[in-house]
Amino acid sequence: MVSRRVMTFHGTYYVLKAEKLLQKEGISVEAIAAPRHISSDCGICIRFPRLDEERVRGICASAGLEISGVYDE
Amino acid sequence: MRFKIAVKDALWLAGAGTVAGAGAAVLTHFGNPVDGGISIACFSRDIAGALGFHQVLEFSYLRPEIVAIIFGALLAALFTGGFRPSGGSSSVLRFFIGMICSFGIFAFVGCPMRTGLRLAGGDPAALAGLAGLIAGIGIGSVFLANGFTLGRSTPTSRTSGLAFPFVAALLLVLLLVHPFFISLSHQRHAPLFASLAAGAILGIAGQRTKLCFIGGFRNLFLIGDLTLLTGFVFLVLSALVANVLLGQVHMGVHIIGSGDFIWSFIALTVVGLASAFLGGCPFRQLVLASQGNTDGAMGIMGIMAGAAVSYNYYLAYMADALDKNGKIAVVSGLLLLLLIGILHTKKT
Repeated sequence: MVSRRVMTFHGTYYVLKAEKLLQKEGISVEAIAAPRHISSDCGICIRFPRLDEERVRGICASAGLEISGVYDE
Repeated sequence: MRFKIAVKDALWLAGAGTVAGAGAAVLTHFGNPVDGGISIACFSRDIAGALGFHQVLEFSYLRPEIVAIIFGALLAALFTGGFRPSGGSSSVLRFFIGMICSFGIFAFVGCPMRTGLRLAGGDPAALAGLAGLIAGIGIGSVFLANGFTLGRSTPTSRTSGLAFPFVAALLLVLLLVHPFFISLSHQRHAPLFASLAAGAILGIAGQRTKLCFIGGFRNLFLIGDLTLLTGFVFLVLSALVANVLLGQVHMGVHIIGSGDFIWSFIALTVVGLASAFLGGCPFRQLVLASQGNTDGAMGIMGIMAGAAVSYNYYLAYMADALDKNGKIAVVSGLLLLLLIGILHTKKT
């Protein structure tokens, strides 16, 4: 099983905002270029450990950040 | 900011960049324009001329490379599930941003891809152009980081998504049939088979790797990611090596387009900023259009319309000079882009 997941949003600003927010919450996350096999509106996404997915989704939802998609890295 | 690179994706992009760079150099060897064996914007200009949208016969030819790129990308998308008809993200505004992008491109005579090819040919003005391109992308990145958006793209009909490739098919038919209303100049062009083969391979490579000649700089500025930049680096390196092997290098010698460092910088700043707003360089817009993205199609059609306007009203670099009107168009375009940036940047 792939150990990391990637999450896309509907624009660059939301990716950067999500990265900042999640880093503040102590999650090991970083913004990366969207992998080849993933479709992304803005070309970038965030990457985080699979185990943190539920927390990541919860934090994004609380902050009103609409997720476009979540994929295996 | 930590620098990072996805090695596997970077290798694919290096391959795609090599196809683009070496392929362009080989097409120049077989008859395509110097330092522009493949150039999306310049070839769009030539298609516009052939269709009668501008009257400069020298730049009138139904470039089959464009058609081949479209079909290569379309087939790759259809076979891999990447064909996703979508659109509706400020379509008309994208058309106008494409036009402004063209004003910058033809004031210098080079889109991001051709800037790389001119650099690989040894053109010193390309350094100023590249600096301007990077500056424009940098400005665009600031807008993007602060919330710039042209709005969300939404799914659309399959028919809408296939309309652009359908028009491309018509262009190929027109080239082969050559009806009286199509102008085909005797300007440099490679044999049809070579153009179609190179274009198709590049279209497939571009679709599979998301090759973009401005996205690399954008990602570097925004998140320190070097992956996408690999494509541009290998475009230049492979074209340079191929040019050396084919005896096409003219190091330090300016041959085509603008040789004015200041206006090359300003013109390509417009191109970089416009491309950042559109979400990719003209090549990337063409590939997106080919896989059903009608917003990409609007960007490309704006570039073609801008080419026609540039050559009809002497806004382009022509006869070894950039006319006063061309300079006004470039500066006005830059100001308009900044206004668009301000109006479309919203922090939530």
